[in-house]
Amino acid sequence: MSRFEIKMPKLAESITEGKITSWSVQVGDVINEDDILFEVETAKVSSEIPSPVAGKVIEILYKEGDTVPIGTVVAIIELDGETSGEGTSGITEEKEAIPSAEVVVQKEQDLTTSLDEQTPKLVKEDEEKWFSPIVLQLAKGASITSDELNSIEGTGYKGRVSKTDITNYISRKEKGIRPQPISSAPTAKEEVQKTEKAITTPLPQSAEDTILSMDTIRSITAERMVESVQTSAHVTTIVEIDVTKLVKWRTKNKDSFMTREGIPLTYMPAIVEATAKALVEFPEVNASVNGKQIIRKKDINIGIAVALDGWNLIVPVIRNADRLNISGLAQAIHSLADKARTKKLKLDEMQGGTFTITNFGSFKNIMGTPIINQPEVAILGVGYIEKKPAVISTEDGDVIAIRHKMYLSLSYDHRIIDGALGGAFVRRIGDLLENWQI
Amino acid sequence: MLFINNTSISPYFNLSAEEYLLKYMNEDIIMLWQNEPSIIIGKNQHLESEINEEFVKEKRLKVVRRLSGGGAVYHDLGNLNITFFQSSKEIDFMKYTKKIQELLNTIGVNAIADHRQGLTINGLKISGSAQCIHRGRAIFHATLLFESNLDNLNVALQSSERSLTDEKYVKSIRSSVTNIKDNIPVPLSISEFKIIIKEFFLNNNNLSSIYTFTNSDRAAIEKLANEKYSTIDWNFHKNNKICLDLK
Repeated sequence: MSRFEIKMPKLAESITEGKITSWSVQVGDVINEDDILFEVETAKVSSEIPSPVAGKVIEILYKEGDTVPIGTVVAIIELDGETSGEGTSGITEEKEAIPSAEVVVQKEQDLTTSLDEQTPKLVKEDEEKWFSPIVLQLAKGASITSDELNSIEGTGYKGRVSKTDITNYISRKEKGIRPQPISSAPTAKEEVQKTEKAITTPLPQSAEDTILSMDTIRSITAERMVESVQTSAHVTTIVEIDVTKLVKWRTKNKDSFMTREGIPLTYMPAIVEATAKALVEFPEVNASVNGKQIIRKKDINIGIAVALDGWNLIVPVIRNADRLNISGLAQAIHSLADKARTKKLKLDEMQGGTFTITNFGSFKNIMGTPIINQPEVAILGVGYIEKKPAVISTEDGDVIAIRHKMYLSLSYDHRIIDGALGGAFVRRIGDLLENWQI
Repeated sequence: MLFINNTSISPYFNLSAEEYLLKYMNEDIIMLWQNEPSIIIGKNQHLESEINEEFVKEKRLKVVRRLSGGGAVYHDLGNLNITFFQSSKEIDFMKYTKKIQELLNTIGVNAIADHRQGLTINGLKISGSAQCIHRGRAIFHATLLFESNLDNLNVALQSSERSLTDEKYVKSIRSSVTNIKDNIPVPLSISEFKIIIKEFFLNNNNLSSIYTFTNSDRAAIEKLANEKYSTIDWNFHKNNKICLDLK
């Protein structure tokens, strides 16, 4: 058995000493290489100091709060018989503070084999997970099963279960069994705690309910939607438009378009083109708000909301939509929607939007009040196109005819867009679509 | 070098992002970020001795403990934070302070560094810094008071509790402060200043590029925020807990 001296490491240039703010181990603890030994803070630099060796802590020479010059021995580790030899000699000071990854991996394997003999049951249950002796010891002491141990999510190096993790787990478990004593009066700390966390009322639950965790897209969407409602003063106005000309145009062209472009012709390219034109004419709507400032965006980048399998939603962005013709827009929309559904979108294809269009007409909804996609200031909702009896004026007087009609809903941020502007903008998109010609 | 314009203003998320980028990425990174009104205390501080609890409650300030050392600071959307991440065997924090001085020079501010790597204009502090080292990788972060509410700043950090004599806690050092905005020759908005910062670091570093959090980055950071930085355990009882562990 040989002894290894743990010295106060040199943290950075011009730093000559370190204050020990806490010890993570105590005398008698069996530690692994890379386990945190103590924490240091000095000259506003904080650092956790990992152990360069595995072994047993046999001496701690300074207490919390002590300031120690660099190079001073602060603790002594008795090396394991199997892993000694390396320890006392060759390791330089840099190596002590920063063990290299290769060394770590090699040692891990050594230790796993030796542990197998000690606690075969716990280790063999799950070959991939590895636990330090102190964690195993604490787990054993608290009668934690190997299944439980495997299920604890580690916060340590490489996701390992640290001593703190197991201690927290055990204390949580104990609290769960034994009710906590009720304190007579709330302390100041507890009151601050209340302001920290949102007040949540317990939800009524029955045994038949299924509880699901939100996936990443869901939780991001949830956060963004609430953030948007809290940020912008939402208001929605709606226009009804006669798209008979547009429908005729599509019917006439869809077969030749399919032959020529290899993709179906939908109404979306026309709607995006009309929107892009209107945004050129109304730069006030192609904007963001920053505090008391309005930022008008140079580029017109239109996001299209795409529904994904599993009821999620993603918004890929057509960059410089005002510079594309109908074929270009159709190709861009088709390709982005396809990538979105097959999860192949690149980051820059989802960023930089300046305006968003959501087409709830595709599931036969007629009008809506969409939520603005921050940091944009308006969003267009496209309704379902359906045939309706309509009054139209002719030279011989008013007649009732069957026309194709749809609603366009525009939600806008009333902080910077008032009714006259928002109304004129959505009316302009409507006019462009009503008088569709190409 | 990667440049991250982190647009989250949640202190829980942002401090988790610091830990995440420190521990789980290898690249040299510069991150620009802001927090909503909050108090950020140093890793080894005694919370109750550093904050004005009445004011914190009244203004609903979030109080969050960070990973790096140093004292308590007040953040709001008039304050900008820059964090440098670097993997290096020889860590020299002074060079980051110099970088920030250079940055301020470009907008006509001649800031003087004090011995604690803070920056001052006419003796008034505009920037504080703190550092953390983790297995050969370091972070250096600095605050930049651009147009913060200095009244709130002063009140928020006035604790009514007597400061502890326990040597293991780090006590804050109070400084008189000023806003950068009031000390520049040409009017500049905070969003313009942010663009200047971004361009300064992108143009000053070869092979630099903009990095945006991926969904998995974001998920991991949010997990850390939920499990650590937004918890009472980490923010309030950290020191107490360690005492108990040692008994």
